[in-house]
Amino acid sequence: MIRLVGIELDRFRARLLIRLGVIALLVLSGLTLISAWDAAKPASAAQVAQATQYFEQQEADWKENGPQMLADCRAQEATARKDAEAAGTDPADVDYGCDHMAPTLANFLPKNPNFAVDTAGLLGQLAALYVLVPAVLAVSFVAAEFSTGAIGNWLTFAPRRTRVLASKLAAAVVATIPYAALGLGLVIGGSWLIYAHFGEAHGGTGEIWAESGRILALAAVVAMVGAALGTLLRHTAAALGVVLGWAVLVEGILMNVATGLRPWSVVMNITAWTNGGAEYYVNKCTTTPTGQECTAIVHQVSQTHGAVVGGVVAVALVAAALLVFRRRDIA
Amino acid sequence: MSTSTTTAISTRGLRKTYRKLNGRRSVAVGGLDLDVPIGGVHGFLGPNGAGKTTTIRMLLGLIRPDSGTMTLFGEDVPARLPQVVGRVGAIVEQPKFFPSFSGRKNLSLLARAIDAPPHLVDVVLEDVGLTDRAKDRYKGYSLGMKQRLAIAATLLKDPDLLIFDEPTNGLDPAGIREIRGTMRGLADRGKTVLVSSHILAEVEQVADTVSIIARGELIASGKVSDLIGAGATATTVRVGIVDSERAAQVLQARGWGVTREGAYLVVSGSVQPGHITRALADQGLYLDELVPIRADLESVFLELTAGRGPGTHAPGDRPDGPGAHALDSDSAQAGAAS
Repeated sequence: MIRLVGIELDRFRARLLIRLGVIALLVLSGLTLISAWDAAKPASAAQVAQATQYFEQQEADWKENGPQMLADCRAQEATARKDAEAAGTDPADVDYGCDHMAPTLANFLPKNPNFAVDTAGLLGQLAALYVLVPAVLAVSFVAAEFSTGAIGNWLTFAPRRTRVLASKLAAAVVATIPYAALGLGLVIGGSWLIYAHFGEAHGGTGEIWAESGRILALAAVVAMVGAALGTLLRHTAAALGVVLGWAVLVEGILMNVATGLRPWSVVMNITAWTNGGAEYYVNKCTTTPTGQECTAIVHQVSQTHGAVVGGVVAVALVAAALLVFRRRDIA
Repeated sequence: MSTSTTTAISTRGLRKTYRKLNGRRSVAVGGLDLDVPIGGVHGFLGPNGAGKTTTIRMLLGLIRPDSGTMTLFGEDVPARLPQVVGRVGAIVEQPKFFPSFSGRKNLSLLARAIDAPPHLVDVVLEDVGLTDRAKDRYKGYSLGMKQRLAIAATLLKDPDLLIFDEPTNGLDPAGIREIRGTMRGLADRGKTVLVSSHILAEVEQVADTVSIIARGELIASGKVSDLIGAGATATTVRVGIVDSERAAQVLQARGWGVTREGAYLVVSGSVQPGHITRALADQGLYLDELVPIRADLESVFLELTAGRGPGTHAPGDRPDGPGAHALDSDSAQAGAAS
């Protein structure tokens, strides 16, 4: 089994498409450091001058209209809270931010750089890339062997199909970890250097490492799922078509129509896993004497939920791939 | 189930069907009883769609049979395939390797799968004459080179049984002769070679025994010489003569069958060429040409697959044990003389 995994890793590394995909991942990861640079550098004199100008304009307007605006805001908030209470939801969830309406200079300046918070946010944005690339590479890695027919030749040398499939899945996972780690390390290390350059490399890095670990684990699991999809569908284009179709029809349309299904959305659960939780909003509308009023109700999807749902999906696909591969006629 | 180890391959009641789009089932192999003796070259013949490749794929565990049993060297397959696959090397239809990898890389991956020493890759590449092209990508290989690489792959295991499915497809005459020589050489080294082909002239030159199938069922099997002898209706002779009308009358009067083929007469019926010459000369007729036409595997094959030929066994007519389908030499000669 270990020998088979070693052979599969060798084949993984030798494929040109894999090498190009890894390079693309690293390049794209490196390009995100541009936004890190923009976030880390202090505001220029021109930016400060312009922000000051906007602030002074807004402050003058607030002095004239602020009390009325504040009163209106509080009235609307009170009404909304009554409606929420009548609808059976917690009125404390309704917050129109009335206490923060007064303009401050900070509102107009670029936000203060914070290495820990900014880099964690950057990693969260990269999560999609670390799902897409490992999935595509793993699908291609396995599907190519079926589409070329080489799997038939291979099985005459290694006839135990369970071991053969397990070796491919394991290789997809093991091969993904180093390049994903390299990409994430590039982002974290590059970001730290940038923030350090501007004297802003402070803050706890615990969340950065935790989020990196979650993204790394996600990339590995997605690679395994991609390999399973490649086994089931036997063609890279077919697998990518299925994924695209799922993204559009299920994630894009169905989840918006049947909002009750959102806790089971793949995207929702991936977000929950990588970001430590996710939220989604469901509008609850009631008819009042003044007309229909809708309130956005916030629902939470926990990280644990994301992990469990993702794990179940991964296990189900792998099991399906094993069942099909063991029984399939190889032409 | 026969567990005799005098057969390299043995199947009983092997059956495989496929479901078509309209829901009906198509029989690819319909109850095949096949025995391939150990040693020598065994031809596995049949028209296109007879079930040859399907049978081979089932033996190699690539396709699941619907029913029936199979053994390789006495081991039940596919249950015991992992234990016996090291003794079997196979090329099934077109060779399939990774197009972007070099020939050497492709073989190296396979060698590692069976824990073969790395230097063996160079040895088998040398055996098939691909050393100079070993570093080139497989997708750049000619068809002949691809076939040679496939043979090299089979040799990695130093197998006792080699299965070649249509090995000469697409090859030029030189390539075909090379493959023929390779198969014969392997058999002469004590290996068993099963060659599946529809090019009967090639098989006849190299095979020691054959099995002929049609529509997924065994039609005949045995030594090539016995099969040709049993299948031959008689030795026939083609005669070229100016006065063919009178010659035909003379020959028919002797009790021989005479048919016309263009400008020639074809004489059949246990005829000796010398008797024809004498019979015609006695009547003042002299030959321009006299060519004995002997039955060959192709003519036997066409006769058998068009219907049931003489000296063949019915599917239920088999005694136990290996070589059970072999044609009896005495009965074959008796059939030829009738």
